[in-house]
Amino acid sequence: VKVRLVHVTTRLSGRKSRREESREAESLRIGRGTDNDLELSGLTVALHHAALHERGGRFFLEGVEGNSVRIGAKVSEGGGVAAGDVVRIGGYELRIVAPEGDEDLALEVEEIEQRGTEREELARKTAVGVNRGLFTQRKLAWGLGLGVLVLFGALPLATGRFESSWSSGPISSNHAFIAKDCGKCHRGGFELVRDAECLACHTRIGSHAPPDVELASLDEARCAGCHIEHNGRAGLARLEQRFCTDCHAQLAQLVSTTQVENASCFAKDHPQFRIALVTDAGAGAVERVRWSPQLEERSGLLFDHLRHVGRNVAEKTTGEERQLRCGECHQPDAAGKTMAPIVFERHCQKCHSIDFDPAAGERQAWHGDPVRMRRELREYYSFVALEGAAAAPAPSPLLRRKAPSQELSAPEREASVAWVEEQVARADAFLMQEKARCRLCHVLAQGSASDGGTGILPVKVAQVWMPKAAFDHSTHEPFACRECHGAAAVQDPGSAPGAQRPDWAAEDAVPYALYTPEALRTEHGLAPSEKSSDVLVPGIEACQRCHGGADARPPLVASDCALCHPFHRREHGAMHARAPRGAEHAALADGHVFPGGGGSR
Amino acid sequence: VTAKAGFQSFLSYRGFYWLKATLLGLLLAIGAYWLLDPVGGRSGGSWYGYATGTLAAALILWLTWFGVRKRSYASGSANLRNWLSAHVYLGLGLLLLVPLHSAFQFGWNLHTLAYALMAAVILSGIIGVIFYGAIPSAMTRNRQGQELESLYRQISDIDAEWREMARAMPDFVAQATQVGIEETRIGGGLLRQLSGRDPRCGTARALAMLEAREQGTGGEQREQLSQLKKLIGRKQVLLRRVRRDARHKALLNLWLVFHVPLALATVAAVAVHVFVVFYYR
Repeated sequence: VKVRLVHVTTRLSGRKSRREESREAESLRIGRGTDNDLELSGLTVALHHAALHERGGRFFLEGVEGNSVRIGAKVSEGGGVAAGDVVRIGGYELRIVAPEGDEDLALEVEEIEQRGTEREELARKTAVGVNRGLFTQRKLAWGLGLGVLVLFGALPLATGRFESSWSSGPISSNHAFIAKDCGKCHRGGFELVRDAECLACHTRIGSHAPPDVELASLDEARCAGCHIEHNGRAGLARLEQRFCTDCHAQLAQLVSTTQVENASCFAKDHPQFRIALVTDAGAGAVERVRWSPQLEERSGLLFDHLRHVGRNVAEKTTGEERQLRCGECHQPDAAGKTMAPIVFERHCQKCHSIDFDPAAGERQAWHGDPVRMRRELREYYSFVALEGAAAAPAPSPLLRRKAPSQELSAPEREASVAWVEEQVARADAFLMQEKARCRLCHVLAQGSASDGGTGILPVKVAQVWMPKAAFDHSTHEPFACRECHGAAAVQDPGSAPGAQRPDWAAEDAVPYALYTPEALRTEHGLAPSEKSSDVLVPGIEACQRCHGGADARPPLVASDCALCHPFHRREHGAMHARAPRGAEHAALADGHVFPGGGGSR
Repeated sequence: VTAKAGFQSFLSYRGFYWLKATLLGLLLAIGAYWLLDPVGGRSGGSWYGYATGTLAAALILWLTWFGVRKRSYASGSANLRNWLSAHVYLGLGLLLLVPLHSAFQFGWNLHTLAYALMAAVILSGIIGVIFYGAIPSAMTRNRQGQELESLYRQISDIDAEWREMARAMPDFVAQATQVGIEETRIGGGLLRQLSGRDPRCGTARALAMLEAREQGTGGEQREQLSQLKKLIGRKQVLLRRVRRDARHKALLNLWLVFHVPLALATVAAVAVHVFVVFYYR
């Protein structure tokens, strides 16, 4: 075959140039090798790739050594070709063109997959640099910045969703139930939280001072000034001493009418306690008196701690012996804060029987009121008389059992009444005898009782010694009674020989420990309490043994005002809503009605 | 050597002026923190909290502005070194100033998010400073006094020579050559760049292909093949260095990819934080 080869190349300018040559061979060999008739230099072309030959007037292009060619769109091991066909081998395009003159065929050869220089090719395959793909600086910056603005700014502001992310700290457990409802306290719009929002729920919270006290700093104080939210378990009330001492260090100068004394520190200048002292039980008089060891409580009661504490007593029913301890009589009330009142029937009567007549056996006289006592005695003896007075020691000769239908005669009735009165007078005298029964503990009243009989001086014992403070026995439970009430906690060894001293593991609610009188005198210079008038509540010095000022360090207990003195005191009426600023707030606050208060100031 | 000197020069600039200034400022802030006992306890809402918070917010804006003002840290001008020195030390100081502002109160909220983002910015900055100190010298050593472009040129030249040699050689060599040149890539994804190597390197695969067929050859062809293998060996050495260079570059620049976006996120979080604390007082 005689073939005209037209090599088409593209110049830098973009123009195509053609170079022609003629080849004549039995079979036109095509491949990368230099021994081919048509040399195609690409590495994707085999050394001997294909051959073109004529058979029967037709031309065939066939792959050699198993190489394939593409004729038109079809890849195969070879096939017939004719003018107009386009053949692909490697990166080359071979276009079959109609022959001219004596030639059998013409081929236009063009490298269509142009390669750049090796350096350009390498650059194309090089990808160096971190600011690429998904994590470019710009994309990250926009994504993170907008993400924060939308998620934490726009979203909560517009919808209220995710608003909890705005919380500056965990809500106190007191307010846990409204933690998700920011607007319950925050009205929003760059405003401080107002008292009105607090008082909407806390309607009955007590005011701090009596209504007649006018003090600007008290009027201007905001709830949130002391009650600071979003501190989690640290609590809601910031009971800092400063809040109190700003005024209370010089309260006498600020409020001329006050009875409250100046104080700025429990350790330094807190005045000695003033206690609620019973000064006249008969008149029910209680006075607030400065504590001193010489104070006497005129309770109208005769009682001696020394003869009771540590004494061995026998249980009447079982005969079991036990020792009288503080907790035998002094039991905390249900709240554990103060001691429950001493009650004769519960605490005294087991030992101090007030029986009045051997014939009546264990029967006890009425306790609490001599008039009622005598009335009940009279009723008792009347019944005895009606019954026939079988057991009476000196029955009247006129008294004898009557048949049911028989009426008493006038003399019989007179004799019966006289007998009853005689018995009542005898029992009354028995009960009122000196240093026994009633008068073991009670003092006779001057004059006579309303029934003309003997009167008993009324008894009044202090229940709460310091009503202005919030002393709590339960928080002091680990400490023995004698730590504070030494003079009372005395065991007279003579009264209980061989008695084992009680220990801390006692099952009583209030722990106790006892002194011997000698130990009390030598260790504390105190005399044991032998009189009922002894005031056994300790003064401030006892507290100061453990409690220092607000800034005290261990082993002293740091004690600010609020440890003992509550701020809100309901006896002064209700707290008032205060409007921080603006008429709008005042109007809103006025909408609330507070019992005992005057609305907004 | 020059990179190291430049690195030290911005840290120790003006006799550690900005380090001293930052430490002095922090000492004042700590002292005031202990001395002042604001009513209501220490918190971001106290006057001390407002003061330190304002200062910290101003610093954050100023430090961010540095990035806007001068994007290239490489410039060696004295003024820029001064700025960079201040940027680094004041930025580090924020790590303590902000907890003082918040009285060390942290929680799962927006406010702590702002601090966490800021801490992440500073952490990425610290990584940047460390890498700026360590990597340039390693880079210079790796390049062995040559320009990076020169290394690339050498690789290209080897590719050209390889292609030329393969022309007259059997087809399996042509195939291996095709793989060795066309399928050798430098860099790629972030992890690939950071690893400094390519487990599917075309050149290595080409060499393996040639070695697999080497046994069947003999005479002149074997001689040609061993020449070609030497050539490929040279290319591999160059590739290792170029890839290590890419790894160095990635390490040197990666921190900034996070530093800047995190800084903008911090500014956004601080802006929302300031809005919120005044919106809900």
